[in-house]
Amino acid sequence: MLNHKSYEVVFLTDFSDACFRATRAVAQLVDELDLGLTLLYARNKETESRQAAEDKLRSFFPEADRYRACRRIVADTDVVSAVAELREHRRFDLAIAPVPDRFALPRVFHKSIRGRLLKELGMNVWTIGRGVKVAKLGPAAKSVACVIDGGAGHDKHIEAAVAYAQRRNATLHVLHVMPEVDEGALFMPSGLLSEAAVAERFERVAVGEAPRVELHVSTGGRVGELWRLINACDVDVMFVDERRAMSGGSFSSYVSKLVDMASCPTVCVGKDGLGLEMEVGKKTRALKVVAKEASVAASTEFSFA
Amino acid sequence: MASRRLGWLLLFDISIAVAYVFLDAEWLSLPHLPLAMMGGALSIFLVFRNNSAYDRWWEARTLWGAMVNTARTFSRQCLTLVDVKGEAAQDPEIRELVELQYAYVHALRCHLRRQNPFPELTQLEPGIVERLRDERNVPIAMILIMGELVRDLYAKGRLDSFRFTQIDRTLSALCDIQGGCERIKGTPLPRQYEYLPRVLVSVYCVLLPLGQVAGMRLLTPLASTLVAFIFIALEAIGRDLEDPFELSAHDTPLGSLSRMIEINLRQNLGERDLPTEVRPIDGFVY
Repeated sequence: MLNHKSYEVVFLTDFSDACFRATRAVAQLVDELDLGLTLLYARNKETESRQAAEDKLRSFFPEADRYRACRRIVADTDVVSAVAELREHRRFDLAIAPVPDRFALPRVFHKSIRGRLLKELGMNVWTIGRGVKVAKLGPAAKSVACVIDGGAGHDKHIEAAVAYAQRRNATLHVLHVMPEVDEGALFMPSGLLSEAAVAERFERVAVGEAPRVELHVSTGGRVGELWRLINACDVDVMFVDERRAMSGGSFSSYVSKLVDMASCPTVCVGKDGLGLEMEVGKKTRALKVVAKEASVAASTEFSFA
Repeated sequence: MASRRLGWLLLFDISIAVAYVFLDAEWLSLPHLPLAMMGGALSIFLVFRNNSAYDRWWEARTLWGAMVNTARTFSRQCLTLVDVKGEAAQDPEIRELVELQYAYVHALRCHLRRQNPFPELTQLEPGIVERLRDERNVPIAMILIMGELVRDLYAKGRLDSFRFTQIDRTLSALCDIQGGCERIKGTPLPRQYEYLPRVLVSVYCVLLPLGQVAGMRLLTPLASTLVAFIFIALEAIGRDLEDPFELSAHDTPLGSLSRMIEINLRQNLGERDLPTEVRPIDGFVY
């Protein structure tokens, strides 16, 4: 049991294969956080009777009936409206929304449910993409990542990542990709352009003591480099800022692409935070800065007061 | 994954047909490719691999069929072979053994699917759960605990040596079934079975429109995508079946089977408030 309060999680299911795969991770979260779990299925009223929908939902994730607190709800509205309605009566700390199975062609005007949950309801969303490795869904996290980019944000995802790493006694990898600057560039790129700037940003937010923190700063294409860093660090779960996480329109954000490719689950943290509190300990933290070329061996250690 | 592959192939086929017909790219046509011979050889290869994958799936299903029988036998033996003063189903030691039995089935399902079993072990004594938390192989530890409880019954004189041997034999059968499942889980199909079919099917699907475009012209995408669909589907079926404990739509229905065992055993204990059966969802039983 990792937390002082009971966590409330809503698991949105459409009975896709991804939802079944995600049940592994939910079982782990239930053990770690003493979750109250709500399984929600939004039926299509035109094509499916309530009875048939309830039967399906009852047979989905049957082991959840043995968990401490599990409710199953069939909604007659679309899934985001159903979550909004439920939130009027009950607090939810996290929505579990695996990526739907989809066909080959991109859906240009499709509005992502995950994006709507983040934008319209400001919820924290746990999700997986098509690149997720099954082995990353079951066991307890030993390696937690937090993506910092140069844009303005509430940085609640940094707090959440530190707090989760503390509770799991895991290594926290702070990942940042700087834009490439060359003499042909017309504009000076904005954002965090040095390791020290990233470390300073992290320091400002993360007042708690994480067991081990490694700062990985790289240059190049954001999605490709972050994907490489996630694999190199063998990350088990990644925390990102909700504002850059999911696009609701026609073009995906870089984090949306990253979520789809990443081998680990992603938690998009909203402005209210995840509800995990950092344990404030000693003030000195050894931040290990790992260079791009030497993500395993050579590294420089700085101490921050 | 298969649908994405098929989508890309359709685009490739259309571009070949368009380039050949409208851009006069006649060099794209390779009518003398031995496609029929290659297709035949590839089919044999895929069928051979799919047979191996299905054998694994069927063995997993057979092992879990044996698990259903053995769990019921163990429950019956606990309820009928142990000496009791009152009603067997109300005896706390017998109840504990039967509850451990269906908890074991759930724990084995989680073990095979690499899932955390502890949220499901709520009906067990907290001391037992704490002991199990340190174990790497939780179901095997549960068999050991069941063995210790049976030994205690023997020590108390509630079992004679013959009945003790019978129950112990059932526990050994559980161990054998678990070993069989772990063998399937721990021994994936050889790497070549995974890699070569994918490469060969991809090569064949790319060559297909080149061999057909001279004769079928703009209809090439129709024919070659259809043939590609057959080969890609065959390959996908093999891949889906090769790990029967992977928690997917195509694996052995462990959720349904373990729920059925729990219902049976709890009914043996005289319980009325039973969980519902797991039914197929959109034709798939999990």
